[in-house]
Amino acid sequence: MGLPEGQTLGKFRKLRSSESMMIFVGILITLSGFVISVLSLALNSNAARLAVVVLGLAVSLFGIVGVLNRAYLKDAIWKKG
Amino acid sequence: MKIRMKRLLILCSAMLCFAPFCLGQMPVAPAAAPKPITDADVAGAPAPTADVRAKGDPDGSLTGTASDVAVSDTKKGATIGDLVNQAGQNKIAINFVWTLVTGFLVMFMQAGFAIVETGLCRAKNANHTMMMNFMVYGVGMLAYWLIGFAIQMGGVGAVANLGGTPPLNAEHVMTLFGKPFGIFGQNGLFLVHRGTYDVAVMVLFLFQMVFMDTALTIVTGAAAERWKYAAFVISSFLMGAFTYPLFANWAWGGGWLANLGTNFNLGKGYCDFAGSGVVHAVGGITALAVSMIIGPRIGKYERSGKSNAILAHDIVLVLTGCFILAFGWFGFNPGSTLGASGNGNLRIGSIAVNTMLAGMAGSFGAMLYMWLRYNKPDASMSGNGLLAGLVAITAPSGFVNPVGSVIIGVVAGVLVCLSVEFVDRVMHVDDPVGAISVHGTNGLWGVLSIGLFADGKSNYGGSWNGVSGSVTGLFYGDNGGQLVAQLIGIATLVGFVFTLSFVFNLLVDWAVGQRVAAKSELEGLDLPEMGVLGYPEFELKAEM
Repeated sequence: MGLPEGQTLGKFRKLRSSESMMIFVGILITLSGFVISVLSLALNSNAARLAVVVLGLAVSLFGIVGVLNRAYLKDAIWKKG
Repeated sequence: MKIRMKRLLILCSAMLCFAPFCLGQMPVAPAAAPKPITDADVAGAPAPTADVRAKGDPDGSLTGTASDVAVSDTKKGATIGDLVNQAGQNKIAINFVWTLVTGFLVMFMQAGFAIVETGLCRAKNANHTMMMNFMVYGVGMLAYWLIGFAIQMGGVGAVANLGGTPPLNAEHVMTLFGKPFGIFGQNGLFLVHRGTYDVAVMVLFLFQMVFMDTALTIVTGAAAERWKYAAFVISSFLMGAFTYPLFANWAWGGGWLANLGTNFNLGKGYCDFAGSGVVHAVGGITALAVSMIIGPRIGKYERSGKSNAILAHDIVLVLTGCFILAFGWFGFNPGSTLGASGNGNLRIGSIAVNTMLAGMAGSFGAMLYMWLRYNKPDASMSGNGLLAGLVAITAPSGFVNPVGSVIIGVVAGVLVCLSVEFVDRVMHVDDPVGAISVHGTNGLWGVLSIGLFADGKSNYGGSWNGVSGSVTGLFYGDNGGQLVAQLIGIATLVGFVFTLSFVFNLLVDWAVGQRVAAKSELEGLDLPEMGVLGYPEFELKAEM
């Protein structure tokens, strides 16, 4: 098995600017899901609160799985063989 | 005949006259009021003499008598005030001992985590994995003593079961939606700051410290076999100082999540009896953040994305560690009452039984899932099923009944298998021990399950989080408010705690690098990172 070049450094892996931007956006989306959930407290009905909290949770999960993780997979070492 | 009738009438009349006396229906003179006990009675209570005691007490009848009551004035002897004080101190002493001993059990869980994680890794990384589990105890404790405890508990107010913790009374509060939001505590730095050199504070610190360390040690499993040791030390310090204490304050330290009930009428506020969310989900979510940044082990994924199994080196260690953890969990959950005397604390019996039932159900759920899906009852996943059941019951253990516990445990056992598959094959995040699924996924499930299964029968002094009544879930008649409170807690864990952990670990990556060099990883981390092999007499082969 050859050594993937990106891993031999043993330190901060240099991310391309597009990946760095994706990570930044992913962090913002994940955090915004939390903010949406907290904003549900401004509502009065439990059903409405439930809907908004679930929406916030979905946004956070999308930020983690759909954006942040994808940013790391984009340039994953195992894809380079 | 007439004479007989006459006699009969006289007899009946006499019986009617005396009947009330016979049946006790006649009003009787009130009994004399009991004589109040006086100080003289207390002082005169019999106690064995020194001569009698000098002969020994083989049956235990002479030990622990009136002579053992602490007396405030030896000239007057024991008084009623002394007796009342002794009763109060006995209650708090019982609660201190209970909390300390259960804390010691939780501390021993570190050994369980250490051998589970080491057993699940390869032999060439044994020293490195053990050292991370060993030193996370010290690194975490240092961070928590310096600042973490103050952030978490500095504003908790009085903890009645421990006799009150008056010095912990300063919570930083901001106003949102017109309501107070507790954000972090401010007293208790170094355990001397602002009067916190206090016996009850010490007991609370010990118990909370071992919980915090449990959360930290979860991360070492997910990042094992490629985490640079220096990065581990810094990352663990940040987690013990800030990430964990912040969420723990919101849930347990008088923060805004705990007060969702009083401020927004959402059930009893966010409830998490022993820490499915506070401890396990925080650990599991941080493990996900670190694992994403650090990347998978070499050889874990092929170029096509196919996942390769990297086998555990010692399944005996793994299952022994699981038993140690299950034993320690009897400290984790029942100990979270912070007492065995007063305020409904006799629930400790049902909490302990709920804990063991959910663990059993979790191991069954995982074993049966693996058996049906892969034709073998997988040992490591059965162990993870046990842990998943225990993780899931941690939050609801104080609020649910045995049937609810078994359902929660079975779901956890299946869920951990599904989650491991999702993390591994869909997300392509490498987690050598399954920590993200065991602690993260099932920690969140445990938090959610309170909103569904809490049966409204628990009563810890009549209220929870300052809201009177018992914690009740949707299936037992709640209007959904409790479920919403639990979901807000979950959204906070996923949205806020993940983000904070991710940013902290990005900074660590930037500062020192999170990952070891590939050469070290292939050789095994014991020599390059620690300088000594875990098993020097083994013949280890490097992957090339």
